[in-house]
Amino acid sequence: MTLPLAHAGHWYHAALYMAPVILIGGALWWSGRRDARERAEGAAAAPTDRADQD
Amino acid sequence: MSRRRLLAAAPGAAALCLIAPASASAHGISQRADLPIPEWLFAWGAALVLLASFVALSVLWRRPVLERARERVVLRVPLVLEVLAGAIGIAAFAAVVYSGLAGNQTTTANLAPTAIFVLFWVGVPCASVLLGDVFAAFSPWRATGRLAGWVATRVAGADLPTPLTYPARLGRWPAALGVLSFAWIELVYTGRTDPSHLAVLALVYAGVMLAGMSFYGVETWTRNADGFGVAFGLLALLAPLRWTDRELRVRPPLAGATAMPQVAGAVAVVVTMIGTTTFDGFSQGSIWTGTDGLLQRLTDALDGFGLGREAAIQGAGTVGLLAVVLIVAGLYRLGVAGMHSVGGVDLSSDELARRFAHTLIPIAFAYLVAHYFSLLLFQGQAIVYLISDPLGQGSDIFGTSSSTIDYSLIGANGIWYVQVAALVTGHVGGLILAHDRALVLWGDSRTATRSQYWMLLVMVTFTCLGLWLLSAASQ
Repeated sequence: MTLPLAHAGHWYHAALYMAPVILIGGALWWSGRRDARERAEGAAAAPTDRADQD
Repeated sequence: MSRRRLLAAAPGAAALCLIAPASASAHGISQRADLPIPEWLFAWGAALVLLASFVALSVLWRRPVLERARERVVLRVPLVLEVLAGAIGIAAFAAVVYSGLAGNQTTTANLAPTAIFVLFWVGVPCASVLLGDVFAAFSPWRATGRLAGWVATRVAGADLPTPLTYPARLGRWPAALGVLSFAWIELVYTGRTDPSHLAVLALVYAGVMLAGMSFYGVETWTRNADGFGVAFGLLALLAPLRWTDRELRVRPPLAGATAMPQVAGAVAVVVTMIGTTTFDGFSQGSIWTGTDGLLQRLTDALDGFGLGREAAIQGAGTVGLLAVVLIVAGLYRLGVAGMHSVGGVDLSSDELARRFAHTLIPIAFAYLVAHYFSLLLFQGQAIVYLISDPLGQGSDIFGTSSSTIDYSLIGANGIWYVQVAALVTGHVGGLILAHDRALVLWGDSRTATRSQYWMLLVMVTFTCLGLWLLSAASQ
Protein backbone atom coordinates (compact mmCIF):
# COMPACT_ATOMS: atom_id res chain seq x y z
CA MET A 1 0.00 0.00 0.00
CA THR A 2 1.33 3.45 -0.93
CA LEU A 3 1.59 5.91 1.91
CA PRO A 4 -0.52 9.05 1.41
CA LEU A 5 2.70 11.01 1.89
CA ALA A 6 3.93 9.72 -1.48
CA HIS A 7 1.11 11.72 -3.09
CA ALA A 8 1.74 14.82 -1.03
CA GLY A 9 2.34 16.83 -4.20
CA HIS A 10 -1.26 16.27 -5.34
CA TRP A 11 -2.79 16.99 -1.96
CA TYR A 12 -0.61 19.99 -1.28
CA HIS A 13 -1.63 21.45 -4.63
CA ALA A 14 -5.31 20.79 -3.88
CA ALA A 15 -4.97 22.21 -0.37
CA LEU A 16 -3.72 25.51 -1.75
CA TYR A 17 -6.82 25.79 -3.90
CA MET A 18 -9.16 24.71 -1.13
CA ALA A 19 -7.69 26.93 1.58
CA PRO A 20 -10.19 29.78 0.93
CA VAL A 21 -13.02 27.28 1.40
CA ILE A 22 -11.64 26.23 4.76
CA LEU A 23 -11.03 29.84 5.82
CA ILE A 24 -14.49 31.06 4.84
CA GLY A 25 -16.17 27.91 6.17
CA GLY A 26 -14.34 28.30 9.48
CA ALA A 27 -15.24 31.99 9.71
CA LEU A 28 -18.92 31.24 9.02
CA TRP A 29 -18.98 28.42 11.57
CA TRP A 30 -17.32 30.60 14.19
CA SER A 31 -19.62 33.56 13.56
CA GLY A 32 -22.67 31.29 13.56
CA ARG A 33 -21.73 30.02 17.00
CA ARG A 34 -21.12 33.56 18.19
CA ASP A 35 -24.48 34.75 16.82
CA ALA A 36 -26.24 31.85 18.52
CA ARG A 37 -24.51 32.63 21.81
CA GLU A 38 -25.45 36.30 21.56
CA ARG A 39 -29.08 35.40 20.79
CA ALA A 40 -29.15 33.03 23.74
CA GLU A 41 -27.70 35.70 26.03
CA GLY A 42 -30.18 38.25 24.68
CA ALA A 43 -33.07 35.88 25.33
CA ALA A 44 -31.84 35.22 28.87
CA ALA A 45 -31.47 38.96 29.57
CA ALA A 46 -34.92 39.93 28.22
CA PRO A 47 -37.06 38.83 31.23
CA THR A 48 -34.71 40.73 33.61
CA ASP A 49 -35.13 43.90 31.53
CA ARG A 50 -38.90 43.58 31.74
CA ALA A 51 -38.65 43.04 35.47
CA ASP A 52 -36.55 46.23 35.77
CA GLN A 53 -39.21 48.20 33.87
CA ASP A 54 -41.89 46.88 36.16
CA MET B 1 -22.12 36.99 11.06
CA SER B 2 -23.04 40.65 10.99
CA ARG B 3 -22.40 42.77 7.90
CA ARG B 4 -19.90 44.83 9.90
CA ARG B 5 -17.89 41.75 10.75
CA LEU B 6 -17.94 40.55 7.16
CA LEU B 7 -16.66 43.91 5.99
CA ALA B 8 -13.96 43.80 8.63
CA ALA B 9 -12.92 40.30 7.58
CA ALA B 10 -12.48 41.16 3.89
CA PRO B 11 -9.30 43.26 4.22
CA GLY B 12 -7.80 40.53 6.40
CA ALA B 13 -8.41 37.92 3.74
CA ALA B 14 -6.97 40.27 1.12
CA ALA B 15 -3.87 40.75 3.21
CA LEU B 16 -3.44 36.98 3.49
CA CYS B 17 -3.59 36.75 -0.30
CA LEU B 18 -0.77 39.23 -0.62
CA ILE B 19 1.43 37.55 1.97
CA ALA B 20 0.96 34.00 0.74
CA PRO B 21 2.37 33.84 -2.83
CA ALA B 22 6.04 34.36 -2.08
CA SER B 23 6.24 31.48 0.34
CA ALA B 24 4.16 29.16 -1.80
CA SER B 25 5.90 29.78 -5.10
CA ALA B 26 9.15 28.83 -3.43
CA HIS B 27 7.88 25.26 -3.22
CA GLY B 28 7.76 24.95 -6.99
CA ILE B 29 4.05 24.64 -7.64
CA SER B 30 3.92 24.43 -11.42
CA GLN B 31 2.11 27.18 -13.26
CA ARG B 32 1.40 28.46 -16.73
CA ALA B 33 4.20 30.40 -18.34
CA ASP B 34 4.37 34.13 -17.62
CA LEU B 35 1.36 34.34 -15.30
CA PRO B 36 1.93 37.24 -12.92
CA ILE B 37 0.90 35.18 -9.88
CA PRO B 38 0.70 31.43 -9.18
CA GLU B 39 -2.42 29.72 -10.52
CA TRP B 40 -3.71 28.76 -7.10
CA LEU B 41 -3.74 32.41 -6.09
CA PHE B 42 -6.46 32.97 -8.68
CA ALA B 43 -8.64 30.73 -6.51
CA TRP B 44 -7.96 32.99 -3.55
CA GLY B 45 -8.72 36.06 -5.61
CA ALA B 46 -11.91 34.47 -6.95
CA ALA B 47 -13.00 33.60 -3.40
CA LEU B 48 -12.37 37.19 -2.41
CA VAL B 49 -14.47 38.48 -5.30
CA LEU B 50 -17.31 36.19 -4.22
CA LEU B 51 -17.00 37.35 -0.63
CA ALA B 52 -17.02 41.00 -1.71
CA SER B 53 -20.03 40.35 -3.98
CA PHE B 54 -21.85 38.70 -1.09
CA VAL B 55 -21.23 41.70 1.15
CA ALA B 56 -22.28 44.11 -1.61
CA LEU B 57 -25.49 42.14 -2.17
CA SER B 58 -26.35 42.18 1.53
CA VAL B 59 -25.83 45.95 1.70
CA LEU B 60 -27.17 47.14 -1.65
CA TRP B 61 -29.73 44.53 -2.75
CA ARG B 62 -32.54 44.84 -0.20
CA ARG B 63 -35.56 43.86 -2.31
CA PRO B 64 -36.12 41.07 -4.85
CA VAL B 65 -35.40 42.41 -8.31
CA LEU B 66 -34.99 39.44 -10.64
CA GLU B 67 -38.03 37.62 -9.28
CA ARG B 68 -40.20 40.58 -10.22
CA ALA B 69 -38.56 41.46 -13.53
CA ARG B 70 -40.88 41.95 -16.47
CA GLU B 71 -40.56 40.88 -20.07
CA ARG B 72 -41.20 43.07 -23.08
CA VAL B 73 -42.28 41.84 -26.51
CA VAL B 74 -39.96 43.18 -29.20
CA LEU B 75 -40.78 41.03 -32.21
CA ARG B 76 -43.43 38.78 -33.69
CA VAL B 77 -41.95 35.61 -35.17
CA PRO B 78 -43.65 34.36 -38.34
CA LEU B 79 -44.62 30.69 -38.51
CA VAL B 80 -42.43 30.20 -41.56
CA LEU B 81 -39.31 30.84 -39.45
CA GLU B 82 -40.31 28.10 -37.04
CA VAL B 83 -40.85 25.68 -39.91
CA LEU B 84 -37.55 26.68 -41.49
CA ALA B 85 -35.63 26.21 -38.22
CA GLY B 86 -37.17 22.77 -37.73
CA ALA B 87 -36.29 21.80 -41.32
CA ILE B 88 -32.68 22.96 -40.82
CA GLY B 89 -32.49 20.93 -37.60
CA ILE B 90 -33.75 17.78 -39.31
CA ALA B 91 -31.39 18.28 -42.29
CA ALA B 92 -28.38 18.86 -40.00
CA PHE B 93 -29.24 15.74 -37.98
CA ALA B 94 -29.56 13.67 -41.15
CA ALA B 95 -26.23 14.99 -42.45
CA VAL B 96 -24.43 14.16 -39.20
CA VAL B 97 -25.91 10.66 -38.98
CA TYR B 98 -25.19 9.93 -42.67
CA SER B 99 -21.61 11.19 -42.30
CA GLY B 100 -21.13 8.98 -39.27
CA LEU B 101 -22.47 5.88 -40.97
CA ALA B 102 -21.18 6.29 -44.52
CA GLY B 103 -18.08 8.45 -44.10
CA ASN B 104 -14.43 7.97 -43.32
CA GLN B 105 -14.17 6.41 -39.86
CA THR B 106 -11.18 8.55 -38.84
CA THR B 107 -12.45 10.75 -36.01
CA THR B 108 -10.95 14.03 -37.21
CA ALA B 109 -11.89 13.51 -40.87
CA ASN B 110 -15.58 12.84 -40.22
CA LEU B 111 -18.17 15.54 -39.51
CA ALA B 112 -20.08 13.54 -36.86
CA PRO B 113 -17.71 13.63 -33.82
CA THR B 114 -16.93 17.36 -34.13
CA ALA B 115 -20.55 18.25 -34.85
CA ILE B 116 -21.79 16.28 -31.83
CA PHE B 117 -19.13 16.92 -29.19
CA VAL B 118 -18.14 20.47 -30.13
CA LEU B 119 -20.83 22.26 -32.09
CA PHE B 120 -23.80 20.58 -30.45
CA TRP B 121 -22.64 19.99 -26.87
CA VAL B 122 -20.65 23.23 -26.43
CA GLY B 123 -21.78 25.57 -29.21
CA VAL B 124 -25.53 25.23 -28.65
CA PRO B 125 -25.30 25.98 -24.88
CA CYS B 126 -23.26 29.13 -25.63
CA ALA B 127 -25.82 30.20 -28.23
CA SER B 128 -28.61 29.45 -25.77
CA VAL B 129 -27.15 31.72 -23.08
CA LEU B 130 -26.75 34.54 -25.61
CA LEU B 131 -29.85 34.14 -27.78
CA GLY B 132 -32.34 32.16 -25.73
CA ASP B 133 -33.68 28.67 -26.33
CA VAL B 134 -32.62 28.25 -29.95
CA PHE B 135 -32.46 24.48 -29.63
CA ALA B 136 -36.22 24.26 -29.12
CA ALA B 137 -36.62 25.67 -32.63
CA PHE B 138 -33.92 23.52 -34.27
CA SER B 139 -34.42 20.28 -32.30
CA PRO B 140 -34.69 17.57 -34.97
CA TRP B 141 -36.78 15.20 -32.84
CA ARG B 142 -39.16 17.94 -31.71
CA ALA B 143 -39.55 19.15 -35.30
CA THR B 144 -40.10 15.58 -36.51
CA GLY B 145 -42.63 14.95 -33.74
CA ARG B 146 -44.56 18.11 -34.58
CA LEU B 147 -44.44 17.33 -38.29
CA ALA B 148 -45.68 13.79 -37.64
CA GLY B 149 -48.52 15.17 -35.50
CA TRP B 150 -49.49 17.67 -38.19
CA VAL B 151 -49.46 15.04 -40.94
CA ALA B 152 -51.41 12.54 -38.80
CA THR B 153 -54.06 15.17 -38.03
CA ARG B 154 -54.43 15.99 -41.73
CA VAL B 155 -54.62 12.34 -42.76
CA ALA B 156 -57.05 11.38 -40.00
CA GLY B 157 -59.14 14.48 -40.65
CA ALA B 158 -59.75 14.85 -36.90
CA ASP B 159 -57.89 15.60 -33.70
CA LEU B 160 -55.44 12.96 -32.52
CA PRO B 161 -56.20 11.02 -29.32
CA THR B 162 -55.27 12.82 -26.13
CA PRO B 163 -51.72 11.86 -25.02
CA LEU B 164 -51.18 9.86 -21.82
CA THR B 165 -50.76 11.84 -18.62
CA TYR B 166 -47.07 12.28 -17.90
CA PRO B 167 -46.26 10.93 -14.41
CA ALA B 168 -45.54 13.91 -12.15
CA ARG B 169 -43.17 11.92 -9.94
CA LEU B 170 -41.03 11.13 -13.01
CA GLY B 171 -40.57 14.87 -13.60
CA ARG B 172 -37.23 15.65 -15.20
CA TRP B 173 -35.46 12.51 -14.06
CA PRO B 174 -35.41 11.11 -17.63
CA ALA B 175 -33.67 14.30 -18.76
CA ALA B 176 -31.08 13.93 -16.00
CA LEU B 177 -30.51 10.36 -17.16
CA GLY B 178 -30.15 11.62 -20.73
CA VAL B 179 -27.48 14.16 -19.75
CA LEU B 180 -25.67 11.53 -17.68
CA SER B 181 -25.78 9.04 -20.56
CA PHE B 182 -24.39 11.57 -23.03
CA ALA B 183 -21.60 12.47 -20.60
CA TRP B 184 -20.86 8.75 -20.17
CA ILE B 185 -20.52 8.38 -23.92
CA GLU B 186 -18.33 11.46 -24.14
CA LEU B 187 -16.06 10.69 -21.20
CA VAL B 188 -16.15 6.96 -20.54
CA TYR B 189 -17.34 4.97 -23.56
CA THR B 190 -14.35 3.59 -25.46
CA GLY B 191 -16.15 3.77 -28.80
CA ARG B 192 -16.76 7.50 -28.56
CA THR B 193 -14.26 8.31 -31.28
CA ASP B 194 -15.93 5.97 -33.77
CA PRO B 195 -18.21 8.06 -36.04
CA SER B 196 -20.48 5.13 -36.88
CA HIS B 197 -21.07 4.35 -33.19
CA LEU B 198 -22.01 7.98 -32.59
CA ALA B 199 -24.40 7.97 -35.54
CA VAL B 200 -26.14 4.83 -34.30
CA LEU B 201 -26.43 6.28 -30.79
CA ALA B 202 -27.88 9.51 -32.22
CA LEU B 203 -30.49 7.46 -34.09
CA VAL B 204 -31.33 5.49 -30.95
CA TYR B 205 -31.75 8.70 -28.97
CA ALA B 206 -33.98 10.23 -31.65
CA GLY B 207 -36.04 7.00 -31.69
CA VAL B 208 -36.52 7.10 -27.90
CA MET B 209 -37.55 10.75 -28.11
CA LEU B 210 -40.09 10.11 -30.87
CA ALA B 211 -41.53 7.10 -29.01
CA GLY B 212 -41.89 9.18 -25.84
CA MET B 213 -43.54 12.02 -27.75
CA SER B 214 -46.03 9.65 -29.31
CA PHE B 215 -47.14 8.55 -25.84
CA TYR B 216 -47.03 11.77 -23.86
CA GLY B 217 -47.20 14.52 -26.46
CA VAL B 218 -44.40 16.47 -28.12
CA GLU B 219 -44.21 19.42 -25.73
CA THR B 220 -44.69 17.48 -22.48
CA TRP B 221 -42.02 14.94 -23.40
CA THR B 222 -39.58 17.59 -24.67
CA ARG B 223 -40.05 19.67 -21.54
CA ASN B 224 -39.34 16.78 -19.19
CA ALA B 225 -37.49 13.93 -20.83
CA ASP B 226 -35.32 15.28 -23.63
CA GLY B 227 -31.96 15.63 -21.86
CA PHE B 228 -30.62 18.09 -24.41
CA GLY B 229 -33.86 20.06 -24.67
CA VAL B 230 -34.05 20.41 -20.89
CA ALA B 231 -30.35 21.18 -20.37
CA PHE B 232 -30.15 23.76 -23.15
CA GLY B 233 -33.53 25.18 -22.07
CA LEU B 234 -32.19 25.69 -18.55
CA LEU B 235 -29.14 27.53 -19.83
CA ALA B 236 -31.40 29.64 -22.03
CA LEU B 237 -33.11 30.91 -18.88
CA LEU B 238 -29.99 33.02 -18.30
CA ALA B 239 -30.42 34.76 -21.65
CA PRO B 240 -31.87 38.23 -22.07
CA LEU B 241 -34.05 36.88 -24.90
CA ARG B 242 -37.03 34.56 -24.69
CA TRP B 243 -38.80 32.99 -27.64
CA THR B 244 -42.35 32.01 -26.82
CA ASP B 245 -45.73 31.86 -28.54
CA ARG B 246 -44.16 33.16 -31.77
CA GLU B 247 -42.89 36.22 -29.96
CA LEU B 248 -39.43 37.40 -29.05
CA ARG B 249 -39.33 38.97 -25.60
CA VAL B 250 -36.51 40.72 -23.76
CA ARG B 251 -35.82 40.57 -20.04
CA PRO B 252 -32.89 41.29 -17.72
CA PRO B 253 -30.13 38.66 -17.91
CA LEU B 254 -30.48 35.94 -15.22
CA ALA B 255 -34.11 36.91 -14.56
CA GLY B 256 -35.45 33.96 -16.57
CA ALA B 257 -33.73 31.53 -14.20
CA THR B 258 -36.19 32.45 -11.45
CA ALA B 259 -38.88 30.75 -13.55
CA MET B 260 -37.13 27.39 -13.52
CA PRO B 261 -39.82 24.75 -12.93
CA GLN B 262 -39.56 23.19 -9.47
CA VAL B 263 -40.51 19.69 -10.48
CA ALA B 264 -39.12 16.29 -9.54
CA GLY B 265 -35.67 15.76 -11.00
CA ALA B 266 -35.10 19.47 -11.67
CA VAL B 267 -32.20 19.62 -9.22
CA ALA B 268 -30.80 16.38 -10.64
CA VAL B 269 -30.50 17.84 -14.15
CA VAL B 270 -28.40 20.83 -13.06
CA VAL B 271 -26.32 18.81 -10.63
CA THR B 272 -25.64 16.24 -13.37
CA MET B 273 -24.56 19.00 -15.75
CA ILE B 274 -22.08 20.34 -13.21
CA GLY B 275 -20.98 16.91 -11.99
CA THR B 276 -20.24 15.51 -15.45
CA THR B 277 -18.19 18.57 -16.43
CA THR B 278 -16.37 18.33 -13.11
CA PHE B 279 -15.55 14.70 -13.83
CA ASP B 280 -14.24 15.69 -17.25
CA GLY B 281 -11.75 18.02 -15.56
CA PHE B 282 -10.94 15.57 -12.79
CA SER B 283 -10.36 12.70 -15.21
CA GLN B 284 -7.57 14.66 -16.89
CA GLY B 285 -5.61 15.22 -13.68
CA SER B 286 -2.90 13.00 -12.27
CA ILE B 287 -4.99 11.86 -9.29
CA TRP B 288 -7.15 10.02 -11.82
CA THR B 289 -4.72 9.26 -14.64
CA GLY B 290 -1.42 8.85 -12.76
CA THR B 291 0.50 5.57 -12.87
CA ASP B 292 -0.87 4.71 -9.43
CA GLY B 293 -3.97 6.87 -9.87
CA LEU B 294 -7.61 6.12 -9.13
CA LEU B 295 -8.35 4.97 -12.69
CA GLN B 296 -5.57 2.40 -12.54
CA ARG B 297 -6.64 1.12 -9.12
CA LEU B 298 -10.32 0.91 -9.98
CA THR B 299 -9.57 -0.76 -13.30
CA ASP B 300 -7.35 -3.34 -11.61
CA ALA B 301 -10.05 -4.00 -9.01
CA LEU B 302 -12.76 -4.47 -11.64
CA ASP B 303 -10.46 -6.50 -13.87
CA GLY B 304 -10.29 -8.97 -11.01
CA PHE B 305 -13.95 -9.85 -11.66
CA GLY B 306 -13.00 -11.16 -15.11
CA LEU B 307 -14.75 -8.37 -17.02
CA GLY B 308 -11.92 -7.88 -19.49
CA ARG B 309 -9.65 -4.83 -19.64
CA GLU B 310 -11.87 -2.60 -21.79
CA ALA B 311 -14.99 -3.24 -19.72
CA ALA B 312 -12.96 -2.70 -16.53
CA ILE B 313 -11.72 0.69 -17.80
CA GLN B 314 -15.27 1.71 -18.67
CA GLY B 315 -16.49 0.40 -15.33
CA ALA B 316 -13.87 2.49 -13.52
CA GLY B 317 -14.90 5.55 -15.52
CA THR B 318 -18.54 4.92 -14.71
CA VAL B 319 -17.79 4.66 -11.00
CA GLY B 320 -15.75 7.88 -11.15
CA LEU B 321 -18.41 9.74 -13.11
CA LEU B 322 -21.20 8.71 -10.74
CA ALA B 323 -19.08 9.44 -7.68
CA VAL B 324 -18.29 12.98 -8.84
CA VAL B 325 -21.94 13.69 -9.68
CA LEU B 326 -22.91 12.45 -6.21
CA ILE B 327 -20.21 14.59 -4.58
CA VAL B 328 -21.52 17.69 -6.39
CA ALA B 329 -25.06 16.79 -5.30
CA GLY B 330 -23.80 16.32 -1.74
CA LEU B 331 -22.10 19.72 -1.74
CA TYR B 332 -25.29 21.41 -2.88
CA ARG B 333 -27.37 19.54 -0.31
CA LEU B 334 -24.88 20.60 2.37
CA GLY B 335 -25.45 24.24 1.44
CA VAL B 336 -29.20 23.71 1.49
CA ALA B 337 -29.02 21.98 4.87
CA GLY B 338 -27.08 24.95 6.25
CA MET B 339 -29.69 27.31 4.79
CA HIS B 340 -32.46 25.18 6.32
CA SER B 341 -30.80 25.40 9.75
CA VAL B 342 -31.42 29.17 9.77
CA GLY B 343 -35.17 28.53 10.07
CA GLY B 344 -37.75 31.22 9.48
CA VAL B 345 -39.45 29.52 6.53
CA ASP B 346 -41.81 26.59 6.67
CA LEU B 347 -40.15 24.56 3.94
CA SER B 348 -38.52 21.15 4.01
CA SER B 349 -34.92 20.70 2.99
CA ASP B 350 -36.04 19.01 -0.26
CA GLU B 351 -38.33 21.93 -1.07
CA LEU B 352 -35.56 24.43 -0.36
CA ALA B 353 -33.24 22.44 -2.63
CA ARG B 354 -35.78 22.78 -5.44
CA ARG B 355 -36.38 26.48 -4.75
CA PHE B 356 -32.67 27.26 -5.04
CA ALA B 357 -31.81 24.86 -7.87
CA HIS B 358 -31.87 27.72 -10.38
CA THR B 359 -28.84 29.24 -8.64
CA LEU B 360 -26.80 26.34 -10.05
CA ILE B 361 -27.61 27.18 -13.69
CA PRO B 362 -24.96 29.92 -14.06
CA ILE B 363 -22.47 27.59 -12.40
CA ALA B 364 -23.27 24.83 -14.88
CA PHE B 365 -22.62 27.28 -17.72
CA ALA B 366 -19.48 28.62 -16.07
CA TYR B 367 -18.09 25.10 -15.76
CA LEU B 368 -18.99 24.40 -19.38
CA VAL B 369 -17.22 27.53 -20.64
CA ALA B 370 -14.22 26.98 -18.39
CA HIS B 371 -13.72 23.40 -19.50
CA TYR B 372 -14.70 23.58 -23.17
CA PHE B 373 -14.00 27.15 -24.27
CA SER B 374 -10.72 26.26 -25.96
CA LEU B 375 -12.29 23.17 -27.55
CA LEU B 376 -15.02 25.30 -29.10
CA LEU B 377 -12.58 27.99 -30.17
CA PHE B 378 -10.09 25.65 -31.83
CA GLN B 379 -11.87 22.43 -32.77
CA GLY B 380 -14.97 24.47 -33.62
CA GLN B 381 -13.03 25.89 -36.57
CA ALA B 382 -12.83 22.37 -37.99
CA ILE B 383 -16.51 22.67 -38.90
CA VAL B 384 -15.51 25.07 -41.70
CA TYR B 385 -13.68 22.34 -43.61
CA LEU B 386 -15.81 19.47 -42.37
CA ILE B 387 -19.03 20.88 -43.86
CA SER B 388 -17.31 20.90 -47.24
CA ASP B 389 -16.11 17.34 -46.79
CA PRO B 390 -18.45 15.79 -44.21
CA LEU B 391 -17.64 12.21 -45.15
CA GLY B 392 -13.90 12.81 -45.15
CA GLN B 393 -13.61 11.45 -48.66
CA GLY B 394 -12.09 14.43 -50.46
CA SER B 395 -15.19 16.39 -51.54
CA ASP B 396 -15.29 20.21 -51.49
CA ILE B 397 -19.00 21.10 -51.43
CA PHE B 398 -18.68 24.72 -50.24
CA GLY B 399 -15.10 25.35 -51.32
CA THR B 400 -13.81 25.44 -47.72
CA SER B 401 -12.28 21.98 -47.43
CA SER B 402 -8.74 23.37 -47.46
CA SER B 403 -9.24 25.72 -44.51
CA THR B 404 -7.24 24.97 -41.38
CA ILE B 405 -7.46 25.58 -37.64
CA ASP B 406 -5.82 28.79 -36.47
CA TYR B 407 -4.24 27.95 -33.14
CA SER B 408 -2.88 31.48 -32.70
CA LEU B 409 -6.30 32.96 -31.86
CA ILE B 410 -5.53 32.88 -28.16
CA GLY B 411 -2.63 31.69 -26.02
CA ALA B 412 -2.59 29.43 -22.96
CA ASN B 413 -2.65 32.39 -20.60
CA GLY B 414 -5.56 33.99 -22.47
CA ILE B 415 -7.52 30.76 -22.13
CA TRP B 416 -6.73 30.66 -18.42
CA TYR B 417 -8.02 34.21 -17.94
CA VAL B 418 -11.23 33.36 -19.80
CA GLN B 419 -11.66 30.28 -17.60
CA VAL B 420 -11.14 32.26 -14.40
CA ALA B 421 -13.47 35.02 -15.58
CA ALA B 422 -16.15 32.47 -16.55
CA LEU B 423 -15.99 30.74 -13.18
CA VAL B 424 -16.07 33.96 -11.18
CA THR B 425 -18.88 35.49 -13.25
CA GLY B 426 -20.93 32.30 -13.13
CA HIS B 427 -20.63 32.00 -9.37
CA VAL B 428 -21.39 35.66 -8.77
CA GLY B 429 -24.49 35.06 -10.92
CA GLY B 430 -25.38 32.13 -8.67
CA LEU B 431 -24.96 34.30 -5.58
CA ILE B 432 -27.19 37.00 -7.04
CA LEU B 433 -29.94 34.51 -7.86
CA ALA B 434 -29.68 32.91 -4.41
CA HIS B 435 -29.81 36.28 -2.64
CA ASP B 436 -32.80 37.40 -4.70
CA ARG B 437 -34.70 34.16 -3.93
CA ALA B 438 -33.76 34.38 -0.23
CA LEU B 439 -35.28 37.87 -0.07
CA VAL B 440 -38.55 36.46 -1.42
CA LEU B 441 -38.59 33.54 1.02
CA TRP B 442 -37.28 35.19 4.17
CA GLY B 443 -38.64 38.67 3.65
CA ASP B 444 -36.24 40.74 5.69
CA SER B 445 -32.83 41.41 4.27
CA ARG B 446 -30.90 40.49 7.44
CA THR B 447 -32.26 36.94 7.76
CA ALA B 448 -32.07 36.45 4.00
CA THR B 449 -28.37 37.31 4.09
CA ARG B 450 -27.80 35.01 7.06
CA SER B 451 -29.52 32.17 5.21
CA GLN B 452 -27.06 32.57 2.36
CA TYR B 453 -23.84 32.09 4.31
CA TRP B 454 -23.83 28.43 3.42
CA MET B 455 -24.65 29.07 -0.21
CA LEU B 456 -21.68 31.43 -0.27
CA LEU B 457 -19.54 28.59 0.98
CA VAL B 458 -20.95 26.28 -1.71
CA MET B 459 -20.19 28.87 -4.40
CA VAL B 460 -16.64 29.41 -3.12
CA THR B 461 -16.14 25.64 -3.01
CA PHE B 462 -17.35 25.19 -6.60
CA THR B 463 -15.14 28.07 -7.77
CA CYS B 464 -11.99 26.80 -6.08
CA LEU B 465 -12.76 23.24 -7.16
CA GLY B 466 -13.24 24.36 -10.75
CA LEU B 467 -9.95 26.24 -10.81
CA TRP B 468 -8.08 23.37 -9.18
CA LEU B 469 -9.45 20.93 -11.75
CA LEU B 470 -8.47 23.19 -14.63
CA SER B 471 -5.03 23.66 -13.17
CA ALA B 472 -4.54 19.95 -12.47
CA ALA B 473 -5.71 19.02 -15.97
CA SER B 474 -3.15 21.31 -17.59
CA GLN B 475 -0.18 19.82 -15.74
